[in-house]
Amino acid sequence: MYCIETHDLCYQFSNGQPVLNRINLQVPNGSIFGFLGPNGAGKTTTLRLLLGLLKKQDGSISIFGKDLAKNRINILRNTGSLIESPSLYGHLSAMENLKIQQTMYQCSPSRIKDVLEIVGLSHTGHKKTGQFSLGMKQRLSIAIALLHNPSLLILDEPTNGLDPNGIIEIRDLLKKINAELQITIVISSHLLSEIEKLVTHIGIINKGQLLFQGTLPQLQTKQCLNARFIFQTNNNTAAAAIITANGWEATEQNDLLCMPLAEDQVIASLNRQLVQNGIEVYRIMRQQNDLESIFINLVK
Amino acid sequence: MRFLYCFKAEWIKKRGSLAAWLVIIGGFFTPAIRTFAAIYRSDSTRKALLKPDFWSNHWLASWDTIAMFLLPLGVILATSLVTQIEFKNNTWKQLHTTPQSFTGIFWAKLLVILVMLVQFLVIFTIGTYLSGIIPSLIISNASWPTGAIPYSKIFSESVYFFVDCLPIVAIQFLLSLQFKNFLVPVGTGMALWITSMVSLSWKYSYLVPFSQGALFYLKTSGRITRDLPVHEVAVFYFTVISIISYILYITKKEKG
Repeated sequence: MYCIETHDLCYQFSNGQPVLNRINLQVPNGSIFGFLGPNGAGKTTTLRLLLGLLKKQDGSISIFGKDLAKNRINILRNTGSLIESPSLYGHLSAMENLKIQQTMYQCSPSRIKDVLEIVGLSHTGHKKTGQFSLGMKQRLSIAIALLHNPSLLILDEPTNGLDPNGIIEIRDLLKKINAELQITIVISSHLLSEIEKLVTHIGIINKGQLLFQGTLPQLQTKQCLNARFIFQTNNNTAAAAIITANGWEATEQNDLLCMPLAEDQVIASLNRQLVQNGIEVYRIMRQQNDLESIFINLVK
Repeated sequence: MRFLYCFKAEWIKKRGSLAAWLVIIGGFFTPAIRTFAAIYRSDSTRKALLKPDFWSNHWLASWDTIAMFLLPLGVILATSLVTQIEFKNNTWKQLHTTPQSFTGIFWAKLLVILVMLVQFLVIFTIGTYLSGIIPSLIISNASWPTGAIPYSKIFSESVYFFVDCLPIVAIQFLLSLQFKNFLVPVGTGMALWITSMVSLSWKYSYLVPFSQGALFYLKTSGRITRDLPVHEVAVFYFTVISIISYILYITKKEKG
């Protein structure tokens, strides 16, 4: 069962420039879905469409199994969000900002105290949010998103501008609420390293196209499939011939020679043969095919 | 019921804002000036307090600067400030992801401004009353104003001034919802106000938006004798412009 499902979602700017091209997003219930892509890939546009902030042009959006266009208010009643920078009334205190939302959502007034404690802002008293640091503003925005006990949280780059401690705090907080309250979380970021320790599922978007969607293990399998050894020699053509003669596939890429993963003994044997044939071997390395490089390869 | 929650939330937002202070300070400003002036000119105040039509004269004189100058400018500023709270704080996207209908949000915002206008008129009326009695308490040998307070005149004229401010509210509200730059609604409002002042002597001046309050004051104070349908025109402008504003708001493609 998917919490969010989009079908052939398309969007283009008024000048005709396409932003999203047939996005079929599937966010499972109870997951932490990392929505990844470089700046300008279409992440924020997708999230704004999911929240009804942009008018849908083509395709369909279903949240909690209901069509967004027909059930916007009901869906929003169970959704918390933080889109880009914090949205706070600077002339009001944290408590007053939460009071506004509490009035809108008609949730229990005691939740104000609860969420302030969750995000560690109970001590702010009458201090105006305009005087808060960026980290405090982000945390208060998350408190606002959590105030009405939503079933779905949509967070667009919530750790933007936070220091490493702040990032860890937010990450722990999101993990906790996902585990304890079974809240589905969609979190966008342009940095895989920032969310790979948090998410259960990943969607990778670039230039308006969804390039990958699946679980973290599925992405890691992709990582293994793409792993390889790289040789750097003074004569790649001759080296490729020797490797091929040993029954391995070798391809030249720029100044490098690539071959599939093999056992250490095989690599040692190949290295010996290359040297015996007068080829200077400068470097043999296993390609660091971590999630970051897969991400970079995907969005290239 | 949901509209009431929406209105309550909008009401909290203006708490402590510049617009909220403007209503209080603006409401007491002219009465405070008149109080000081009355104390300073103690001789003429003593005589005025004895007149049976003291309260009518005092009420009319208090409206002098308010009707022509302070009220329109105050409404221009306060409406723009309240409406622009969302742009200023980058909160449209947060507001539009709450479970409220766009219709509810629009009318709740407009209603907050109208209630603030009523608040201003009440504060101004209280201030005017205080500016009538405070000098009698401070000036030696001054008597307590003995004339009857014209309650129905005060009430009806306050209602008319409220109605005559509605076109200003509607135009400023429309502009402030559409333009992120605060200077656009304020600048346009000032330009329209100046135009209305310049056109006051024109035969059809009542058709110029923003002129209705000033024309009503001139009529009340006897400086204009001809009958003008200022209140009808004000209601017409308010209705038409509010509907246009509502349509523009709900059909906006990007809501934050």
